[in-house]
Order: sequence, then C-alpha cells, then structure tokens
Amino acid sequence: MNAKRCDETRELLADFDAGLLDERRADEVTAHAAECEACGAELAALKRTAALLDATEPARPSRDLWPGVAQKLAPRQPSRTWWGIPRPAQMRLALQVATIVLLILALTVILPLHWDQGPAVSLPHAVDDDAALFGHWYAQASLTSGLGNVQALSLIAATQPPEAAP
Amino acid sequence: MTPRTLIVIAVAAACTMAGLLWLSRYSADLRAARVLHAALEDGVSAPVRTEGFTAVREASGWQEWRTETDQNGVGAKTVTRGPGRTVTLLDDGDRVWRLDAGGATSLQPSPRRVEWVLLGRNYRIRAAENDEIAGQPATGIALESKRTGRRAEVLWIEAGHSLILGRWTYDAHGHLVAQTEVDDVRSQGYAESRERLGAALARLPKAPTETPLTDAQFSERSGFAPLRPTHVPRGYREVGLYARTCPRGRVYAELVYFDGLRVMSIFERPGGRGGRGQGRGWRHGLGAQAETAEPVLVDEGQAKTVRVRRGNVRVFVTADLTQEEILRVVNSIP
Amino acid sequence: MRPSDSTAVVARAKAGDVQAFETLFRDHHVRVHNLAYSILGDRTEAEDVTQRAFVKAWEELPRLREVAAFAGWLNRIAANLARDVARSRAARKVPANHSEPTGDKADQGLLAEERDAQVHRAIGSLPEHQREVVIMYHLQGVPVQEVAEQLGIAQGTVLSRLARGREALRRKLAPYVEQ
Repeated sequence: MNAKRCDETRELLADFDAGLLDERRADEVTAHAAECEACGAELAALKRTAALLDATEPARPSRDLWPGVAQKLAPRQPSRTWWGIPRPAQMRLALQVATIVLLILALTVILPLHWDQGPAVSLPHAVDDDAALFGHWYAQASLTSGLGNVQALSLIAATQPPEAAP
Repeated sequence: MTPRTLIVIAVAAACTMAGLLWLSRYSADLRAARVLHAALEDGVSAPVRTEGFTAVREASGWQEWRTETDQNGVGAKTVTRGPGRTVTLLDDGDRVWRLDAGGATSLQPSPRRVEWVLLGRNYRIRAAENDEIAGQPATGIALESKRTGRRAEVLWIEAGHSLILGRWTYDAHGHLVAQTEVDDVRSQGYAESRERLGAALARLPKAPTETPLTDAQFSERSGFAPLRPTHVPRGYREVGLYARTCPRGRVYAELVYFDGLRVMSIFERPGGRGGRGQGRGWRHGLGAQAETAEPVLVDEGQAKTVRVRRGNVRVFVTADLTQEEILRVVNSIP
Repeated sequence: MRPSDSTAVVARAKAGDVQAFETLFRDHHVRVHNLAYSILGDRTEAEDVTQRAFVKAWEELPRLREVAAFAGWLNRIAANLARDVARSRAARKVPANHSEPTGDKADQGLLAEERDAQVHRAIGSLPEHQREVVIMYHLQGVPVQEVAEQLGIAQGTVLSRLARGREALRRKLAPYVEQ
C-alpha cells in the first residue's frame, strides 16, 4: 500500500465521516479504505468514537439549579451616572437640557461630515471567468499590507491562481 | 432657582460631561493604539504556538478552517486545515512560502510594516470591548474608517506578549466577512521554537523581490499602456504598477492603491471576451451578457469586482468599497 | 425551540423579564452544566459554575449586541468561569473531587460510569468551539441544523468542528475505541 496515499487519506477520514468531502474525494476515500486495512481500521475507530459519544449520558445537575439563580438576579436598575452622583429632580432636568444641547451639536456638526454617500446604485451582474483570477491576486495584494489578515487570506494565497479566460 | 440659572447649570453640566467622556475615551483609545502598535511593530515577545479557527464568508456561506501557528518574532509557520485539504505557509520576514512535499514555493512578499501615518489619516484607532480569549485577557481595538464611519476591523490582543488572539473583518457595508480566533495558546522555549521553525527557514531557496514597474517598463513588457482613473476614493494612494502573468502566460496590468488597511486593485488587459464559462457567477444562476462599455458587477464578496471596457482594453476594479464608490472610480477611467 | 422564539425570549430577558430568563435557563442549563463539568470533572463545582454563569449572563445581558448569538455567548461565560475555578484549584493544589460510584452498583454500571467520566474529561480538553458542538450534537442529541441556529454559525461549520472534535477524541479515548 502506498504510504503517501495512506497519509493523504488519513487526513481526510474525519471529514469523510462527517460528510464534508465532495463526491470525487469521498469515492476515493471509500475505495482506499476498502483496500487498506490500516485506513479501514482508522475509519472504523472514528465511527466507534462517534457511537461512544452518542452513548454517553450528558451530565445532569443533581437538583434544580434555578432557585439558586433566581435569588441572585438583581432587578434591572436605571443606570447611575458613572461618577455616582444621585439625581435630584433639578439635576435631572439639567441633564435632559444638556442632552438636547449635545444632540443639536451632533446634528449640526458631526453628522454632515459623513453625508457624502451619494445616491443608491445597483449595478447589473455578469459572469466573467477572469473574476476568480483577480479575486486571487487582490487577496495576495491585501496580504502584503502590514495589517493583512494572514490566516483569512492564507488559503486563497496558497492555492494556484485560477485559469484565465481564453 | 431661576430658569436662567438652570440653563447655565445644564450647559455647564453638558460641557463637563462631554469633556470627561472625551478624556476617558481618548485615554482608552491611546492605550489601544499603543497595544496595536506594539503587536504589529514588534510581533510576539516570546515564541508561542497557537491553535484556533478562521472563518470566511463566501457566496455559499461561512467556511471554517482550523489553524495552527508557530511564531517567534523572526518567522511564522501556519498550518491551515479545511475540508479535504491542508495548507502550510511559512513567513520568513521577507517572503511568504507555501510548503508541501515538493519543497517550498514562493508566493509573495511578506506583509510590509504598517504605514501608520497613512493608516491614521484614514482610520481611527478606537478602544473596543475587551474580552477573554483562550483564557487570556484580550484588549479590544477597533479600526474605524473615517470615510464611511464604520468599523473595518476589530482585533483582540493579549497586551503582555503582543499576541493577536482574535480578529473580525468587516466589509465596506459593515457586514462581518471574516473571523479569526485563537482557542489554545502554548508558550514555547526558544530551543523548541528554533527547532520547529529554524529547520524550515534554513531550507528556503532565494527568491526575487517584486518591485513596481514604470509605465514604460510595463508597456515594453506587455505591449499596452495602463489606464489610470482620475478619481480614487478619499485616502487611497497609488502603491505601484505590477505585471501579473496568469497560468496561461497572458500579462495583466495591476495598479495597486492602498489606504493603510484596504487595497484597491485595477486589472487591465487588451482584447478577449471572457463571457460564458465556469466563473463563480454560474453558481448564482447568472447568465452571460454581451460585453459592453457599461460597468457590470462580476464578483461580490468582501471585495467587489466591476468590469468595464475602454476601447479594446478590459478593465476590472476590485476593492472593498460600496457600489457607489467603485462606480465613481470606474467612471473616471478615460 | 425555533430560532425566532428564542431570539424573542432573549430580547425579553434583556429587557429585564425574569420569566423569559427562566425559559432561557431551562433551555440552556444542561449544556452549560456539561461544559463546566467537562472542564472541572466535579459535579458540585460544575453546578456552582452553572449557577454563576447564569447570574453573570443576567447582569451582562443588556450589553449583548447579537441576540441571536446568545447560546455561544453564554457558553463563553461558562467556560471562562470554569477555567478560573480550575486555575484557582490548581494554584491551591486541591485535587478535583471526582464523583465516586456508590458501593451497591453492579460492575457494568461502574465501568459505564468511569467510561462516561473519561469521555467528559476528554471533551473538556477540546478547544472551546469543538467542545460546545460535541456536547450539543452527541451528548444532547441536538440536530446539526439546530446547533447551527443556536450558535449562529453555518451547518458546514458545525460539521467541520464535529469532524475535528471527533478526530481529537478518537486519540484521547483510544482505550475505548480501539479493538
């Protein structure tokens, strides 16, 4: 039995058992596992692991835990100010006025800075074989930035660039 | 108390509240910036092995892989396992390589140092919600786009060792498109780390460095001159012009623009039609369209790709922008 | 529980409705208890952590942004609390008080209990995201689709985490699965 083939199949067994492989790979694994005693045994062991887990009882609490939780649930309080000053009626009114003042400031100063979205557009879609190629190259260019997310882009960067259209 | 006094108190209270809130926010943001800077400039302060998962949103849904990373501040090796495949990458600080049974294949340059000035011009570094990840305290840091006002990235960093424990990536519309999270962290001795990484690093061949081309150099190589847009989104600047060769040997121009975090690439090649085929659009049941000079959307994920024709040149703009922004770029290409 | 019901209940609990929170408790406490037990291996400590996790969840619920991610968020709280207890127990060098079988159980029952305890310990050593799907799918019998809905992830992600979890558990539970 080809040792390399066994290594490759061994890596795929768990995914095969979970039904994650495409048809072609699944058929390859099935065929190899039928011929190879070691891989066949490993697959059987994985299935027995799943069966063992299914047969295991979940650990249940020995008593009803809700009363112990319920007595510790504090009623939701309106939040106090973070500096802890209580709110007499006059202060409450002052804070309400202050909030209105701040809102007016926000509407007149801060919001217009973000008001450059332009009209909503919906472009027509089309199919283009080159698109996959550019997605791949774009991901590589993104990866070279100091903040490129290596893990997220690594799979794209590591595969061969797709074929371009003739 | 008279109404006038009340109003004076209210305004004074508002200003004091605003000032205190701003000060508290500012100092939290400053600390977040320091933590981010340390993590990205210096890397991890001690060799470490992490295991975690990476999830990326694709058209068919979220795809998840397990990742194991060994890093020691000099190099990093990442093994990524997904359905039916395992990928090993090695970053030696200069290039990123893919390792397999056949040896090492150079993929591209290593991530550059962060351009902090450019980043700061286009993004606010904000303190975000702290968390505990893999049993480690994690400082939350958000990068907010000044252009859109939305979060572009949130990172969680264990400040003591400058270790990135988690990362959420958002697209231009504020939708979550990628998640990376560590669920196990193990310190390594320097000797163990040298053994894991050092042997792999020592076996790497030399690889040429990729440098941008001038327009003249590119034209000489490919036979056509690249077209440049007259409008790019606020904050983006041109990084360079590169020649890309596809597996069939055809040469494309790639103009790369960068805003400190996100890239915009403009790909160009003369001639061809590229209509019907096995592109991703088929999975969505989209048919081929006769190619016109009008812009069309040919891919949509974290980044969008819009295609347009200019004379006999096919131009593709790929960027993480809204449709309106990308259209403005496309329409400015002469 | 259908997801729409669940998110409505979470929203009500978030607003301060204790009855709604009790509904959430009834739906999630077995899983949380299993998570804690798998990390701690001690039923008393697991029950204590379960209660504390729900109390903490009640306090922090107003800050929960994604109502649909309640289950995963609650799992994280419980796992963090359980790890804290395990760490402080290790620092004090106090051994875990593993449940002892009673003297009048048959041998088969003893073996089964020991085997279950081993399985729980092995599950406790898994990475968090694998642990929660293994508990929900295998121990609690929750279908894949429902696991995905409760945790706010894709079904493919559930299957992938199950595959990795089973792969790791196959090695940890070798004496029980090898013939």
